[in-house]
Amino acid sequence: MSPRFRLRPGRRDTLGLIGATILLLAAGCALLAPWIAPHDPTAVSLLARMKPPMWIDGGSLAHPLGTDNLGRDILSRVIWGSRISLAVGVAAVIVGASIGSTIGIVAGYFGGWIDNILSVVINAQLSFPFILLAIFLLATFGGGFWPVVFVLALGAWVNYARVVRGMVMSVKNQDYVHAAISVGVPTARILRTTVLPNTLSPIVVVASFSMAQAILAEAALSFLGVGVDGSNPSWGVMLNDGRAYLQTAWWLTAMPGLAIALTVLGGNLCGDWLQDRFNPRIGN
Amino acid sequence: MFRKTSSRLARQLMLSSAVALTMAAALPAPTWAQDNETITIASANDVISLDPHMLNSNHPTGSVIWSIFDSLVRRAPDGTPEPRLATSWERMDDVTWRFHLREGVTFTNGEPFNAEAVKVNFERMNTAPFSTYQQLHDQTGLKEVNVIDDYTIDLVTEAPTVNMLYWLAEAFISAPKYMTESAPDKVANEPVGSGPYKLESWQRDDRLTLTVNEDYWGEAPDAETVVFRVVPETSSRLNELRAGTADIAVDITPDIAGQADSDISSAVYVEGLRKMHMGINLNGEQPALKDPKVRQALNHAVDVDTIITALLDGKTVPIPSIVNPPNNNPDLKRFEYDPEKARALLAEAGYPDGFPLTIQYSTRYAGGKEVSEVVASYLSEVGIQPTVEAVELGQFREMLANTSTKGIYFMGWAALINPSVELVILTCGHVDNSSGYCNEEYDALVKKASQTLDDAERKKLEFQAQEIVWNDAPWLYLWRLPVVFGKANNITYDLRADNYVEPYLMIVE
Repeated sequence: MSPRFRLRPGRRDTLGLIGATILLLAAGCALLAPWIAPHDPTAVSLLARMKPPMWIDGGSLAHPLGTDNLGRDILSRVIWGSRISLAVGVAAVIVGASIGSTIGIVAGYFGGWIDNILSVVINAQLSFPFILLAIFLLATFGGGFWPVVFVLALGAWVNYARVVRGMVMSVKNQDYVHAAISVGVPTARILRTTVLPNTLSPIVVVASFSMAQAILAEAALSFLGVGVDGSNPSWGVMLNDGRAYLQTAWWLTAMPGLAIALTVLGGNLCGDWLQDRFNPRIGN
Repeated sequence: MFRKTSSRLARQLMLSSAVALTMAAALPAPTWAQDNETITIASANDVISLDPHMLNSNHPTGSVIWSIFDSLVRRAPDGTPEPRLATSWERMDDVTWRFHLREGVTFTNGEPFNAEAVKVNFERMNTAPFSTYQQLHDQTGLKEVNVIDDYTIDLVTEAPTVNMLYWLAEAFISAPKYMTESAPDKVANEPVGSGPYKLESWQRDDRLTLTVNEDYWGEAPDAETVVFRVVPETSSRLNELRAGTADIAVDITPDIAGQADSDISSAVYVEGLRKMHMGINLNGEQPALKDPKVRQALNHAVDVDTIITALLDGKTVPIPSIVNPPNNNPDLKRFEYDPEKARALLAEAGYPDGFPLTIQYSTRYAGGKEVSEVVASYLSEVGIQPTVEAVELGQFREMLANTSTKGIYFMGWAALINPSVELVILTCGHVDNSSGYCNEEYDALVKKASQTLDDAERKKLEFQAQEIVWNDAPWLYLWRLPVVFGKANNITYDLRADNYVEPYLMIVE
């Protein structure tokens, strides 16, 4: 092996570690928000509005990332905002993965007409512009935490279903599965003990990618005004609020934007890394 | 596809903000705007209906109706009536007004304007559904329209009224035959009037184009074409103004008004008349609001002066009464910012721990979200548990009309100087009384005042009415809406405080 190839896994690991660190930091912020945020994220202080970040003239240590158009501390809002973003991301992944994997296993294992029908459903879903569907559903039925999670899961389940279906189709022809069938092990038990464990690694890989995408989509939906309740500080809502001041106070949008970008980057780095670990051949 | 689509959206969002930035910085003013004498007016909302008898907001619906139709009298920016389709008028006795009408006026479909046309229009206004919008009959007590000859008409009211000319300024006249013989949605979409402009096209939620009426009886307007465009974002309206793609930008908030200033445009401040308030719905989800003490507590809880300094750039003043100066009762005492007193009043009313309260706002007034969030923050300091909720504009209007807002709501009323009209808004069951306030003593005073022709006596009654309603506090009193427009420097026009925009009076250089 050339030195290049020896270096590669090392660099991948480093990037993966960086991604994991970012995600852990974000998760830490979300869990510890009440203790680490310096201010109440909704406390208005009209006389201290539009204060720039501390490293710019006029900024102060009291508001390290500055204040917004109503004098609310941006650092505190970004920290509290991580709660909504991550909660939505994790919940969307869990719901999406459960639905998608179940459908994928059923379609892949039983094949035949069941597979045909489910494949049509998967393809129909794939051909639908997701963001349009999301805006339509949320505008019609109203936003909020669970509606957003549901809509994001609705967009994500096909990814799981496709990957899991492919995986199951190759696993079910393995000798140990045939062996289990021939000694009369019940189908449910075969699925649980032999098929499901084999699909876990691709599910984890898809999950880490799709969590990053769910966070991004939540921000986009909140930005468009159909996301989680607008009175909570969420990153997308902050972006939307700050948009009118883009030219006079860039930090209103830059800070939540940076938070979104970093978290999504963390998720993607982690995803790449996991993909390499579980399946080095696909990784390249 | 989930990944792809959402990241593409994110890219587009970034792109569009980059484009907006570049546009603002780099685009030169296109010259066609001047060559063809087109005036483009950018507003936050679209026109609702072009049926002249369904006029329910000053801008942009009102501005377009004022451009297409004529009323008997025009209301000047300071509230005084001027001749329009009526050339002169006089009082025959306490209850009879005689109007002399302009001769030689035709509607754009060829129908002639005469006394009969006025009668037909006034009769239509008094039938459903128009009678819920048009207040000519309700507010003046108009009971008879008598055609004397082709160009003379008498209006007879039930009792003496001081409001006839005010309401006539908003009673627009359309071609009578067309109006009565066409389907309602045709009338609402294809207006036929006698005003300086006529409708060329209307793409809903995008743009409405007016072109000059060649047969207009008055002085021909300077611009041949007027385009009313819908640009919901305040910052986008300002970007367009600076780029030269819009000549007038309406609904600008003071805190970003500075962005209107450029080589070719500037911000114009007009002393506002509209009384902004958080309406307090007595019939909403929160029964505590029925108690006047609670409503007074809300007023004491919010620091209006600080909000004006910080959020409105100090560009306005708190409202002194529900009636605009100079007709306000000077003895009314403002509700000073006093959280302790607010808490005490809440405790006295039986709510020492506050109560949940929904604050609703719409896109009707720029900055509604900020104001609602700030008020929420002040209210939570005296123990109330507020929730801020955005409501879509159409739904918001419906809620106001049905008195079905949840708790308190951000609103502004009566950008005018006419105490009688300003007071009537809060009488029991009035179409604009969205707070459900109802006080018979107040109603009696307002009615009596509007029928009193003696100035001193009327003023006394109006002062009494003002005092009653002020202390009953059906509103959380805020400020007079600072009216800020962005205007291209090559247009000469005095913008009005009541937000009506009259493109036919604009001079383009």
